[in-house]
Amino acid sequence: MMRFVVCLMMCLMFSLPAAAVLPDEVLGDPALEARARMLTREIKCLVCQGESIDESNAPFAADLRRLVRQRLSAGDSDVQVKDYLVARYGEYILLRPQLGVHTLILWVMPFALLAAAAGALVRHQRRMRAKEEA
Amino acid sequence: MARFLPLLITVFLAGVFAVALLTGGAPQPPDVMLSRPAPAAPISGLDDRLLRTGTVVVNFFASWCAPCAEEQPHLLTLAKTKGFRVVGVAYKDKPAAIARWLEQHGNPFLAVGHDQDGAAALEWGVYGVPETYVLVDGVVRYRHVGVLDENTLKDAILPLAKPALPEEQ
Repeated sequence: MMRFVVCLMMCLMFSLPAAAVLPDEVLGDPALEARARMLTREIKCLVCQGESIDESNAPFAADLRRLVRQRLSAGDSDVQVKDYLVARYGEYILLRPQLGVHTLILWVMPFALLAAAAGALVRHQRRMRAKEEA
Repeated sequence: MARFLPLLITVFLAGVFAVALLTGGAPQPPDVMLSRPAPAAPISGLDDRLLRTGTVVVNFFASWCAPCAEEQPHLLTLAKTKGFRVVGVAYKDKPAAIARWLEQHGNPFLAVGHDQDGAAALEWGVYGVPETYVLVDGVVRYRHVGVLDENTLKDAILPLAKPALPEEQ
C-alpha cells in the first residue's frame, strides 16, 4: 500500500502540462530552445481559451511558436519578441498582464483586500476584548 | 445596515456575473492595428502600392473556410461600390483551390495575395479567417473579425469610401 502511495505521489510530482512543440520546431541550440520554451509559455493562444501557445495543438499556436523561434534565432531579446507580438495582437496576447497604470487595479486589489480584511479583523478583536473587560 | 451587507455584496456580484455572461462571449482582442499604417511586409501576388491610396478593403479568406462563402455577397457589393477597391489575401491555401472557389462564389477581388504559411496574417494581427481590414490611404481605419454582415457594411465600412488617386484609376 505504502509503495502504491509513493508511486502515485511520484507520478503527480513529475507530471507537467504536456507541451505541443513538434520535433521539427525545436531549435538546434539548447539554450535558445530553452528561452523559446519559457517565452511561449507566457504567450496566449488566441484561438483557444486559457492555453499558452506552448501547450496548444492549434495550427495558429504552431505558427506563433515558429515565429517566436524565428525571432529568437534572428537575435531578438525576450522583451523584443514580446513587444513584436504586443504590437500586432495587443497586450491581450500575454498570459501575465504587464504592470502599468491601466493594470494597477488588477495588481493592487488583492493586497488592498487583504489589508482591509486584516484591518477589520483587528478592529473586531479589539472590540471583543473591550467588551470582555467591561 | 451591516446586517444586509453580505446580501448586498452577493446581489452585486451576481449582477456583475450576469452582465458578463449575457453580454460577453469569447473575449475579443483589442484592435491595436487601428490608425496604424498597413504592415509593410510584402504579400506574394499583391502589389503594395495598391494598398496605399484610396479606400481598400483587405479580406483574409480561404477556400476551406465555410463562413467565408457567407460574406462573399457583401464583398461583391463593395467591389461594385464607388470609392472602394477590394483585395483578397488567401490564408494557408493552394492557388488552384482558390481559383476554383472564386469561380464558384464570385470574385470581388482586384488582386489576390497568397499567404501560404500564414506569416503575413501574423504580421497583420489576424488570428483566423475571415477577417477584414479597411484601409484609407494606407492606414487601417476599421477591422472586422468574422463574417461581414449587413449592419457592419452600412454603419462601419460604407462611410469610409474614398476613391483612389486619379492616375491609379
